[in-house]
Amino acid sequence: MTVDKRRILRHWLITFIGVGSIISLFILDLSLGSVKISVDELLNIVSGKASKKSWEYIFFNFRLPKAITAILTGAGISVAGLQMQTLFKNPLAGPSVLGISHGASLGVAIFVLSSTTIFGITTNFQETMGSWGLVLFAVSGSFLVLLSVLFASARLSDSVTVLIVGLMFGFITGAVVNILQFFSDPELIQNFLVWTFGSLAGVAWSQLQVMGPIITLTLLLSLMYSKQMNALLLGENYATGVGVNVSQTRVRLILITSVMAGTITAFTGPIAFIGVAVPHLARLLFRTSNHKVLIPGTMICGMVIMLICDIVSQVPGSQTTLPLNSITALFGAPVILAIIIKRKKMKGAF
Amino acid sequence: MKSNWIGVVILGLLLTACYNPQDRSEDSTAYVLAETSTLFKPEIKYAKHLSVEVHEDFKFIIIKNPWELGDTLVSYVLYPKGTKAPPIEWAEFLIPIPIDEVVTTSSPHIGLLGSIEELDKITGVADDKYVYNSYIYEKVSNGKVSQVGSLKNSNLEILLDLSPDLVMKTGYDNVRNEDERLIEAGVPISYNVEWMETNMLARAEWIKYIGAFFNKDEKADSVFKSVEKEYLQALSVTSNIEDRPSIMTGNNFKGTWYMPSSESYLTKLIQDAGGEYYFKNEKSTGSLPLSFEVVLDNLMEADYWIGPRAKSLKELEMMDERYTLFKAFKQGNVYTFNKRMSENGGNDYWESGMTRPDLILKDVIKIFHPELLPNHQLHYYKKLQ
Amino acid sequence: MVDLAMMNKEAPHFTTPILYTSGLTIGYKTKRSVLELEKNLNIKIHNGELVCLIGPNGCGKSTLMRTIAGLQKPLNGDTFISKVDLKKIKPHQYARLLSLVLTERINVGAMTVMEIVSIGRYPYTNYFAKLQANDHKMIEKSLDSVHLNDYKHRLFTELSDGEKQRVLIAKALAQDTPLIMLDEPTAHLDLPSRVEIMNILKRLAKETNKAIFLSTHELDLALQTADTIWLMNREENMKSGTPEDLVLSGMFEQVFKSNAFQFDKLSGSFKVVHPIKGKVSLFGNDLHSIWTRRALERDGYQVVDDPNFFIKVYYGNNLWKLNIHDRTIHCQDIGQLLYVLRNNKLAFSDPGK
Repeated sequence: MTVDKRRILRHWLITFIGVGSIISLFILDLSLGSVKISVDELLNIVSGKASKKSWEYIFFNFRLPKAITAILTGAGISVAGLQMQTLFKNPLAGPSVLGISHGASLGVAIFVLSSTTIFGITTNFQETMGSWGLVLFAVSGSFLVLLSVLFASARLSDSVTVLIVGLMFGFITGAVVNILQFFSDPELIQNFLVWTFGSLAGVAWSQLQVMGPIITLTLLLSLMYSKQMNALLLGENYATGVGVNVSQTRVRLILITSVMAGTITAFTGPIAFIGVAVPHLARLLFRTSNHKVLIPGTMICGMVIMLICDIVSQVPGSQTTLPLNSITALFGAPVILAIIIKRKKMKGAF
Repeated sequence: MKSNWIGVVILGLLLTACYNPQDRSEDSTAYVLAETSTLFKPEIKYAKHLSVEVHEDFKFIIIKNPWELGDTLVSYVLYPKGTKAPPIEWAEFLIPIPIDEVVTTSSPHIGLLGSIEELDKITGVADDKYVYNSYIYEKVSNGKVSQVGSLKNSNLEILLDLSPDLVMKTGYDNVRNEDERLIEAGVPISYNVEWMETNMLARAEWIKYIGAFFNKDEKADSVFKSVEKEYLQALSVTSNIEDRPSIMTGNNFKGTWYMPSSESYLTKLIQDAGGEYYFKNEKSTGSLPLSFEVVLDNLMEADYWIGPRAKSLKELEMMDERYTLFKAFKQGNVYTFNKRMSENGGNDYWESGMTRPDLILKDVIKIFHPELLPNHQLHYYKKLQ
Repeated sequence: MVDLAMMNKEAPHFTTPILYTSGLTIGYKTKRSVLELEKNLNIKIHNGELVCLIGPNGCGKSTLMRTIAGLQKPLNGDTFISKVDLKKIKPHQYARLLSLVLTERINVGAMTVMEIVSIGRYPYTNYFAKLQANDHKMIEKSLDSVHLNDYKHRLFTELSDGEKQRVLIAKALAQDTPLIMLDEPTAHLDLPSRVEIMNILKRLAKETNKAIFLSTHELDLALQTADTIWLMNREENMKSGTPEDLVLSGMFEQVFKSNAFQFDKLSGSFKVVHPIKGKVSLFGNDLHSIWTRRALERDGYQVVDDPNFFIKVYYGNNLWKLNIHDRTIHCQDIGQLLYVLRNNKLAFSDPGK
């Protein structure tokens, strides 16, 4: 029993430290930014006695939604990655592997670059629809790719093949995005390139009103599928053996993942490496593959990492910000490398 | 027998090696440089990256490298058509002038050619969607002017088929492979870096650069002189202004708000128009990448907002609801420079506007201080509704 | 007088069919052709019965297993588990009737034995797989059955192959189904583990009264443990019966006939067929004599029971006495005996003498 108690103690200890870190990093994220606002002043702002109106705006309209976005994005994109890794039994799977991020990119590319007239369309969607159109296009893009992968997977019913199909769709959409860029106005390409940097700062309250519920809901759904995902760890036949409807579960998990990743991608742009790296970090810390522990664990790790990445990308003390994707890659790539080297082979890393 | 045959081959090789296509015009002795009998020597007053020297039998143009102080980006030797090229080996391009056929790849190039009335020499443009000028646009529509593709991917075959006397390109700090292939094929390239000039008069002074290629140095000079005169006159109106409204510009994308730095022509323009720009002393090689909160903190109370990329206030609000926090937005003092737009999206601000800094300055003065220019109508700018 | 009621109480086996098939035809169907591996099977497995499926490679053992487990569609016919038609079954219902242990190696990452076994309780738990007291009891019991109670909190990946197999059997037990199916449960295992697994299964069938159905290559073990053997054959339809009946009817020899092997009805095992070098006469029935006989046979001698034969071997006083014609050689062990025989060309040069 002692071994088990130690495990449980460890899980609770990490959870406790994790939640503590989230709270302190959240407060740190709120207090650090391009504009220097002292801690005393922050307390004044919260109690409604801001000495400068712009600081109140900065706090409530920028830093607060951005910090909340960091939390939602960190949890969502990481859990999406975990689900893909379990579903495809592939330690390097992530939302981008299934072509979901690529699909979202295609949607956004059509949206942002659409003032080109290759198909005789002269409307600039971005100018007529604003950021809502962006979301719509990104989600439909990822959903379209998802449908294609689903169609292919129904014929193949083999996880590895589905993964390859997902990769192929990723390449296809990537190619279409490149061609679109090729025919586009450099000014619009600039817009698209800025979007591909990935940013949490573009999310305002009205967008958070959509993003928040969708991500919270899909995270809850994901928790409800921890049982099925554990069974899937044993393989599809074993999962069938313990009463899991494998094809249905697979479809639902892919759906949850695509809505989760598609929505996040729409609002923040593709965020690199977090989806692949954070589940490994959670496995390392919690020393378990049990999804009942791992899903909440991944959420916690994702939130912590995303808050840290956001704080770093703010370059506290300077007036400018760094692209978030570079920061997440700087964190994510070494984590993946470390895990691969530590476990010597990829199979062990799973 | 055999040795004779080898000798013939060697002789042939030697002859080929000595052959120079320019030798064909050796017998020509007429050295006529300018259409006018007197030699006109233009003076470059504002442009930092340009120098034009006119000599007896050739012109010498140096485009300085804006990214490397004291370095030359590219140099041109222009010599009269029908004469022997001067033996200046280190110049990148030796071009016989006046030129007859030009391909432009960016809106300001059309503006430059328009200013010296040489629009009819344009045989190719990048893409019809960058064209505002109705004369060129029509010619593109009925196929008299070809589309060679944008900067990133000009269609080499079409370009070579046109084989113009000059291809005008926007100069960057690196030369593309396809340029080298064009040069190999004998198509000279003009690397325009007027966009790197730090004020609008300097930008407009590049009229003199393009004038040189058409032997219209004098015409170019007089066109620029009148623009300069108008500009300075407008400037004098604001010189003693005490009450300078604060100005913000551009817009945010995904958390980064690109604001003009101290080196930007926009910064100069705002100050010339009697406005106050908060970041006027911030140094940066390009524009300043600022975070939204820095902009909000410093410019929330700005009086005017010029040049956001939007067609209406509503669209601006939809892009990011936090734009409504600015005083300029609340009071409706948002101006964009897309008053003169073609159906396809060509914007005259980027076309003729680059050679008419006087009009742009008057527009901006009119926005900041309407009482100073009561008779001026906004030309490029309009108020967002 | 035999008290039937009493007997039923003590051994309530083989009374209720847990699994039966009617007109089951298995095989593969492609667009162009149909490959039937077994036709019109009507087979039964009862409670408490341990059934071993054996047969040469490629005869369709896996296909039969997969079809019965519902992982593959039959070409024709129906399978019933506890009278429920497998075709009309819902996934969660299915998991309460049949549990599986498969050959595929599983790679679960960091999961404890306890966590794996509790997956067996999934058909009974809620959405969040919350274990109730009853589930815990069942898991404990299952772990006890496979002697893994001390391993509960060990990581699955750190166990030996035999222990892993026992964990998966415990998972199947925890699933508490009337039928447990195991595909090659002894593959990849060393001999002691193989014996242990088969013993556990045999015991479980009796103790829990479950029907256990497994496929195996271990003929010896199957003959010793199975209540019923299903013998598959490439040529004919599947035969079933007690191991002994199948041996006596010569089915084994028929199915596994080969030039290199011979099925020995007496020992119930295969023997390697060796080319005969010559004859040796051997006396005695004690342990040493039995192993001497094995050694001689292995080395290619036909052992005869003829006291008049010119080569004789006796064992006594910790010595092997080899008698060739009138000469007697004393050997310390079997190795020496074989050595002498091998080098004594004279002994076999004139067998007629």
